[in-house]
Amino acid sequence: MSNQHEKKTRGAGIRTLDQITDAPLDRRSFIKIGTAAAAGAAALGWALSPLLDAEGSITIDEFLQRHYERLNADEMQAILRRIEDDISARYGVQANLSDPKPLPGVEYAYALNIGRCIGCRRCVEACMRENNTSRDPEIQYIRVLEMEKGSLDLEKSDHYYDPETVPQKDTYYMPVQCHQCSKAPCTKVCPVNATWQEPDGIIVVDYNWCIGCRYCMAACPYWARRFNYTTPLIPVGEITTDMTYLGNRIRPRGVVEKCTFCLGRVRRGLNPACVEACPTGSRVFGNVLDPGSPINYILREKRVYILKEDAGTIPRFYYFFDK
Amino acid sequence: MTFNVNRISMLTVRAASWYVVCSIVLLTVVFALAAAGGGTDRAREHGVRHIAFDTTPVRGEPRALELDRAGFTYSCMECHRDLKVPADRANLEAEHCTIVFRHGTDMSCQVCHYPDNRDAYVDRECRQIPSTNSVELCAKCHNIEYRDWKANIHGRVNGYWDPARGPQTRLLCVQCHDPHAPAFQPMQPLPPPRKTRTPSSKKRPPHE
Repeated sequence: MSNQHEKKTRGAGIRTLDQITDAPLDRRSFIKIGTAAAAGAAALGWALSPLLDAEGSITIDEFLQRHYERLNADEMQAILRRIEDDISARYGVQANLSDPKPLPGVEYAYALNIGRCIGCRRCVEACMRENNTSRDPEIQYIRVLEMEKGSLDLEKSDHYYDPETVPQKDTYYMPVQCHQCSKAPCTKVCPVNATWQEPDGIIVVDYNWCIGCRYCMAACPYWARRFNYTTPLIPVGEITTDMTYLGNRIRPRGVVEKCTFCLGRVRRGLNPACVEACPTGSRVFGNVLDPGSPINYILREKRVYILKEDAGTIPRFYYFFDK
Repeated sequence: MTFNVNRISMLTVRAASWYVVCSIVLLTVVFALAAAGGGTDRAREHGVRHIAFDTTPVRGEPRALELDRAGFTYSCMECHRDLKVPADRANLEAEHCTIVFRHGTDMSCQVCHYPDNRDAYVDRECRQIPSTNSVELCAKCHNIEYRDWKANIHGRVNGYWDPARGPQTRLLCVQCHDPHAPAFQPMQPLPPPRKTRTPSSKKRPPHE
């Protein structure tokens, strides 16, 4: 009876649900369905497997963290310890994470002597080391532009110049990095207030608050912000373990980062890493509110050039000429 | 006729599919090579990175007025007590043959070196400047640079950004500039940034 019934239904090509569930499962279809199901499950598992990777996932504590401005000291300490543990788990180094506050009566400014820069890229290297930026893919805050002599046309500049060709005739070098603008367009466009200007003029990013929308990167006229497309890869021997919450701690994937004038260093009184590294002394850093500072001397005595002044961003970064 | 047309179109289709396959294979090879090339050595060794943190001056520590010859070090006056300065400079260069002179135009030794005491320099009023105070000698002509140097904006300054907050290391003129050929010597730059924004290879090495 059942055989007849099956033949009949097969011939018709249509079976009701009852018929399917009632029909005894023969060996062939069991293997077929079983294999298909196993393959499907395996494919699903494979597709979802990145979720098992704990690196990218967010913990409850992280999820419930409040905005930087609303954190009290105890909460901040708990967050710092949590991030230290996370870094130690991911990179195997014991970081010393802190959150230094702006110094009173200090507003930083930076000046760079275009005439003296020899394009040696020492500043770039020092910056990468100090700020724990990813080495692969490579994230660099400073772009040393090779420019045509007598021109300030950024369209004709090249920052991929070959070390073998330096010094090239009729070129000069102009490093560009974050200008820490007084009227920073990047902070205005942030939809979640994850980036702001500190009282000492440094524009910072809270990497725990950043949603990675990259509006700020689009808004910046100086190409100063970088995005972590992947989890930063840094050889352990090259990790700077003195880290700051708003500065050089190792960033998670999917957030924007930028030059902070080496916040952790300058708030301790030290020069930024790029100033330390420059063999020509082209880079000058100081407190613009101090009338005796070298920065003030430059602004008073030298010919100063402001890059993209017409953008109206009022940078804290000045280029100057000797003659 | 129809047969031929069909045959030709079949051939065309087949050839076209081969082109597609070949170009895909070629592109794969190209991308694979590019990825492999990006991942290999870019002189990113510790030694090279290290340069960026080297704060030693380009020309090292300043030296007194001395001459190294045959393993011995002489002060200038050991010879010049008896040797008068010859009138023509050709002779001078034969003796001080290691000196490459590229400094200004129409310069002679006595613009900087004191004629009677070779262990000292000469200032604008023909008085002696001790050899330890070379900055004052340079300031004789390079007054703008001297002014800038005094204001801490000419020359490398390491340490704290405000001397009131901590020590600063400042350099003398001769620690960057060769007095006889003062142009700052070019340096080999470090490698350019990588162009890729994604990791150069799928297999990321474990953190060393």
